[in-house]
Amino acid sequence: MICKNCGVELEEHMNYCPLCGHPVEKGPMKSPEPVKVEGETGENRTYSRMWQLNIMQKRKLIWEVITLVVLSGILAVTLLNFIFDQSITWSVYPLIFGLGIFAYASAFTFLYGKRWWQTLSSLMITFLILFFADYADARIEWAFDLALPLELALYITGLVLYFAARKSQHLGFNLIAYVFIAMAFLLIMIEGILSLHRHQYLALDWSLIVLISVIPVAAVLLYIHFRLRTNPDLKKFFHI
Amino acid sequence: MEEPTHMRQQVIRDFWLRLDNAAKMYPAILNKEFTTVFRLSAVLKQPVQIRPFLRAVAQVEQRFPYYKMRLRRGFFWYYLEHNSIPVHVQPDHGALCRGFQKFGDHGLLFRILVRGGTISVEFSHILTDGKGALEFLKSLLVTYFSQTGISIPASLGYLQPETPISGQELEDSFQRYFQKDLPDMGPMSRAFHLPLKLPRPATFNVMTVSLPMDKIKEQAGHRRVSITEYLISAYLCALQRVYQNLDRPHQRRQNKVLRIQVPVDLRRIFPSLSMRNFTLFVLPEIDLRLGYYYFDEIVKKVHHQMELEKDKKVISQTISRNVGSEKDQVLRSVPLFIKRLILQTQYYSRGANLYSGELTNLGKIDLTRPLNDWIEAFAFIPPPPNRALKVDCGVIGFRDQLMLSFANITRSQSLETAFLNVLNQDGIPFEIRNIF
Repeated sequence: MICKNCGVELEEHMNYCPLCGHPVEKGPMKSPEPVKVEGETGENRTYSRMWQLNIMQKRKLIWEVITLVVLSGILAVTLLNFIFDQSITWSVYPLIFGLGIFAYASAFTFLYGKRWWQTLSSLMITFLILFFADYADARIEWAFDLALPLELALYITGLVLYFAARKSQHLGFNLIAYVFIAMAFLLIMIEGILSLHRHQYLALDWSLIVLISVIPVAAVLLYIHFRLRTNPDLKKFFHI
Repeated sequence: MEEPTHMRQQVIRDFWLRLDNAAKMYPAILNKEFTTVFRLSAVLKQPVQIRPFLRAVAQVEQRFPYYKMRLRRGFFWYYLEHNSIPVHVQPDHGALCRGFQKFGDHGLLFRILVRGGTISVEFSHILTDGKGALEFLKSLLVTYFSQTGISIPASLGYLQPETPISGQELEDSFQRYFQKDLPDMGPMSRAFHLPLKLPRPATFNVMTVSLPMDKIKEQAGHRRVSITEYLISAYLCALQRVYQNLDRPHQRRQNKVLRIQVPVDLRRIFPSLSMRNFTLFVLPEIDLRLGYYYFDEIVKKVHHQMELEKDKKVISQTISRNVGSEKDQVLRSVPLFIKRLILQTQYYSRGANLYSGELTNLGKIDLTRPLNDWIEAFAFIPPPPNRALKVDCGVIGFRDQLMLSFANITRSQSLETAFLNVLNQDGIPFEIRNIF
């Protein structure tokens, strides 16, 4: 029996040519029966409600401990400040940062799983900390001119880095490269913000040198990562 | 490799090879058209019995682990990494000598193809030369015949699937025979190239012609030269005719040196069991500035040039030059992406521009009496020629016929016609075969 497609000789029992897959015409053919897979008869796995509650309980417990430590700390330093100075002066800063820590802990505990809300609330909390720190010292104002843009630059860099890392199927040398590049761009933004604040115009200097220095290092790291991802053997990859 | 199979598989899984000296150039220059892939085919008298054939393939592929490799890109050089996936035999319907997927996950650098009674293997030159591929095909054929129940003569020399693999089969013999401090060879003038247009989209045509062995032997013997020398002379004579048919302005623009690149199997000169590339070239030539050459004059010149150039010391000088470049500290430490550009430039300046044609003779195949009777013919298609060369020729002998295959990337067959006319005028009939 010869395959009509590729011309090789087949054996009598063959329904298909094993070379080209062409069906053999020899009367009515049985259609292959679908393979019956013995499925798992067990119950679907369900996550234990208790397990989830335990995690939340743990989170709440940690929050309570943080709250207790922070509020008692605030209370203690405020009292001390008041006892020694008869007024609230330097304890404003521990008060602001303490409340900030409390707000962070609350946000990360009660907004668990809602990453966007967590990010947004942490952004707001950080700004509020900085704003009140600025407000506490009436000599200079820097919260809106410097703190807010610097914070936004930091958050934007962090978010871009986060998405770059998530997008990567394999993390290794590439992550270091991404961090280097992100840091270089963050420095550019920092210098730009400082320059605008100080001179009212954009003048970049040292941050560009950092960027130029970082790019070849990051390029080498990325090259090594993408070449070594499936080449764990350095000896063969770098044989000279 | 006498250890148990599982141990052997562990060793094989982790093994990798540096490219041999001849292969180092190829990954840098190959492309979709210039694939460096050549084909060897055996035409059987009966259709291939597919089940025994697939069993034979499964046995033979274990014997040649150094061919189950994929090309990888290192920082300084390309290298070969073992690929343990089973070889997939393909129906032979596609284009001839197609390129291999360069860096694909399963990108083996050889393939086995079957159509009717024709068994073909296609190898990238990165892996091996014609000799290595021929040994593979011989093993495959003999194992297949054995699977179909044909008795194999004990005296038949071939690499049997069950025999242990010698470490020498993997060696880069160029390195073994490299001698330091040999003087460099002088520069070579550029050669004549066929003034044919390259069509777009690219094309690749193969014309296969069979010649009677006894007639060729008679004509070559009459002039006391080998069959290869005789065919090279016919090639040069054909090129001379192509040149003469050009009009004056075209002739003036062309280089006047006609030079043929002829691969020489170095295993015949330097003892080696290597199954990788171990071939160098001799370059017989005629210079048309010296006047018109009659066929007998060309034969005589080619014979003496071949004798001189196949000298062991001259070959050593070429090995020294080639391996010396590879060992050059500066070149070695250049990253691959720059090295590629250097290799590409060198390929044309030191190679392709220096010769007008290429003729590879793999010699006469003999699988001894009972097996020979099952085979009708062998054929060998050389790799697609580069853009300068445009046409090249592969030769293989079997029983009473010599099979010539012209690989051509143009639409003109002027060289083939001139070549066959030269033979015909010398009393050698030919028959155009439709194998592929």
